[in-house]
Amino acid sequence: MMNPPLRQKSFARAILEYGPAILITICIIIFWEVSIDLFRIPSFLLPKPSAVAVQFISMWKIVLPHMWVTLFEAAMGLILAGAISIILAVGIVHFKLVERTVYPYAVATKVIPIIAVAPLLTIWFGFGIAPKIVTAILVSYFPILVNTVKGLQSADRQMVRLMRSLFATKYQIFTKISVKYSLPYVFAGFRISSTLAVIGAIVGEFVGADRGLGFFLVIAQSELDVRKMFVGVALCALLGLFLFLLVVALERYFLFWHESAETSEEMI
Amino acid sequence: MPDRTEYISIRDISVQFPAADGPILALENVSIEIYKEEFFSIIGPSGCGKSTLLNLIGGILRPSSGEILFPGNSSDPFIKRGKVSYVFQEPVLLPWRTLLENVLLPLEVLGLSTSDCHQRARDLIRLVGLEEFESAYPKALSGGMKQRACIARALVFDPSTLLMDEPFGALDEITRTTMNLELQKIWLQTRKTVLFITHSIQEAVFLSDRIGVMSPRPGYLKTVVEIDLPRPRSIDTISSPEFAAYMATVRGHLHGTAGVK
Amino acid sequence: MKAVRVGMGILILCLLSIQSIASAEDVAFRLNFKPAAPHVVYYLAKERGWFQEVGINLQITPGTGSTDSVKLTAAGQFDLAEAAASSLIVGRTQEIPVKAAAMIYQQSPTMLMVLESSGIKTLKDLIGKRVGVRYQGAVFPEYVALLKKNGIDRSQLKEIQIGIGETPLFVGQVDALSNYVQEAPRFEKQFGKKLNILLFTDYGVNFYATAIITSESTAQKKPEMIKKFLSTVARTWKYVETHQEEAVNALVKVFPEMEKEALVTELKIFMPLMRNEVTDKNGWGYMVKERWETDINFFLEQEVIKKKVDAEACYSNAFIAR
Repeated sequence: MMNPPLRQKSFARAILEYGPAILITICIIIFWEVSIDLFRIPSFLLPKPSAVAVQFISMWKIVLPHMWVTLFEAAMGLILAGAISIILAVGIVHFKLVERTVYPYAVATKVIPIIAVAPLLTIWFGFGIAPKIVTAILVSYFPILVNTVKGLQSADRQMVRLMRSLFATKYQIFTKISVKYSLPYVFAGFRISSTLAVIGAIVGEFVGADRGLGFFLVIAQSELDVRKMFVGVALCALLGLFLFLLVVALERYFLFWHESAETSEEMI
Repeated sequence: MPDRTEYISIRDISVQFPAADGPILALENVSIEIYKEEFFSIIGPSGCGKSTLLNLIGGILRPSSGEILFPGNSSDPFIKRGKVSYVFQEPVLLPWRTLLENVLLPLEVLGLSTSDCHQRARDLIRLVGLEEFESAYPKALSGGMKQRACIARALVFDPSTLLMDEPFGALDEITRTTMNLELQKIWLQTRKTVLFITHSIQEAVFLSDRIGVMSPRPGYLKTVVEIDLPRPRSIDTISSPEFAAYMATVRGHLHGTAGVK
Repeated sequence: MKAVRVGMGILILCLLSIQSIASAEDVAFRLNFKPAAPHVVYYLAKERGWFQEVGINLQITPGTGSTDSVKLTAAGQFDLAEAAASSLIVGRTQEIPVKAAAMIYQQSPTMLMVLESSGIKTLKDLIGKRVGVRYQGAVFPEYVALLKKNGIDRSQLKEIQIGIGETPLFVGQVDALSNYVQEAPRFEKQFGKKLNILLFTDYGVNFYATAIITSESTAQKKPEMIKKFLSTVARTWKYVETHQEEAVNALVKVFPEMEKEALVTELKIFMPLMRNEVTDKNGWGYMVKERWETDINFFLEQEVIKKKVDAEACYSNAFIAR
């Protein structure tokens, strides 16, 4: 495979792309900080962002290990969810029997509320890291499954006809054509699932853990310490964002050939 | 004038498609003889079954009645691998492969040694005038360039027959004329049997040895017009009175007593 | 003309104020958890109209734990709520403005329960065993106190963080976990296994448990309402002493899925925990400063809380009926 073409981003372009988001965030934080005093909101209901920052700085050594734990659970959950979903999707697309048996169960599993299932999982899997990875999988698998199925069916019809005219085998059509055509869809599924996996891991930690951001939140809740809760929530959001951006970065690398990827010509 | 060896015999073919309210007759009792190494165009109104005919010859479709005979008098309806090549109206290339890799695709599928044929692919790319873009991705190519790439790909495994379904239909007139000249050049060099579907009378007259005129659905072959113009044909040929006369003949058959355009 | 108008205005104002005095005020009340035997008193009194009589239109909402009760009461969502004293103390360290108006339990109901089949009979038998703890729960500091008082180091036990529910004990994931003593018979029935009870008060630990709390602003603005509420509750508990089945029926009427028999058993175990010499002398729910101070000091010592809380700010006996 040849190397993908380089994309040069000028400094000005970077500012244009990220600038507005950063500006808005700063405005929101300032407004938040000021309105606590302005509207006399009691600090136990809503703390100032400065208070939250101070809280984080005072305990970052304690809270970061929790974040790594949750990151690991979410990442593992996402990877396993991806692997399972992709395998199932391939089965669904190629064997009608699999489609008829697996798809209804996939939908049914999605519908069961995870908060009800999580305690059951601790009974079956104990209190280690396993049930958290399972909850992460359960919460995040569905978008990948659905998108991969669609993606595998989205290969260009002409191309498939061309392959058939060459008497290509089903396997050849699958490996040379379908797989790569499905990638944009698969990545779209992973984008959605990346944030869901974080939620799943945290829900798993709520019902029985001694480490992780979910556990940290539970402690903060029991101490009625709102600033700690906000630190926890902010870190959860950052975690979700991190996984999401990771998926986007991988997507940019693997899908450089897709129309949606920017080229220097199109950037005016 | 190509030597008149019979190559593909289409005898009394009819094709029916099932549909919601009764079967549709796409082709009705079509009979054609196609000669070796000739450039045969098929022209006709929309829906007359041109593409169906092409698919029959390509082996993707089976006739409902009648038979097609192939070289060696085989009535095996599916031509063996490696004999037939398609070029469609939409130039479809795999977007994640470079131009060269795309052209190599049929060789991979057919299991032919790529190291030998690598050179062949390169030669073809040069033939269609795209050697600078060997390492480019389809994203960077224009419509006309992509179509030329598709033609190179179609020829890479040395098929005997080339089936082209309105390959230049999506291009503007200027590019189209350029591509016609290109195609003629390529065909003269490689001498494949070409079945060429088009809507453009000028294109058909320019490129073909013979033109088959089809009627509206259910399609049958109205007539076959022989084009006896010297090769290689050029822009000047298009302006010649003989060319115009042929065009008038074809046009007359197309809009003939059948009435509906 | 002007005089007539003014007179009419005054008359209307008088009529309106009489109207507001005569009609009952809405009082939002939150239970600490799902309805159980200790809650029969509220439902009975409501059914009999005893709250209505004193001008209280009581809205009872089942709860999801003491920390939520503390927060929601402070935020003004509820006028009164049930919450554990430990949660209240923790809340006050975070400047959450709530205080206890009455103490329901004079004897702590907290216990550790073990399966009878495990052979664990005393606290010391727990050494080397697995204990299910809920760091976020109100009971956790009491558990720490229990071990300390009895000379057991926390490292001598294996602490396993669990969530809500008792199932870990019954599926063998832990050897002991905590709960309130009156709930034990229900678990025995539900899981079909017999239990041994290690009651905290038997081992020298008697923390203030569930109290009726209110926010400081409600205490300031509606003192009469709180007094009337508490006096009605005290009165009704007296009645329930001799009319236990009736009380249970009142609860079951609202929640028909609950089991009468189990509730009666639970009630019998629970009721004596509300009485001691202090209440006999001063009235139901009366609180004593020393006990608050002991609890606060212990929390501070064990670093359950990080800064000292003024005991007197945590409670008020001003609303107790004698």
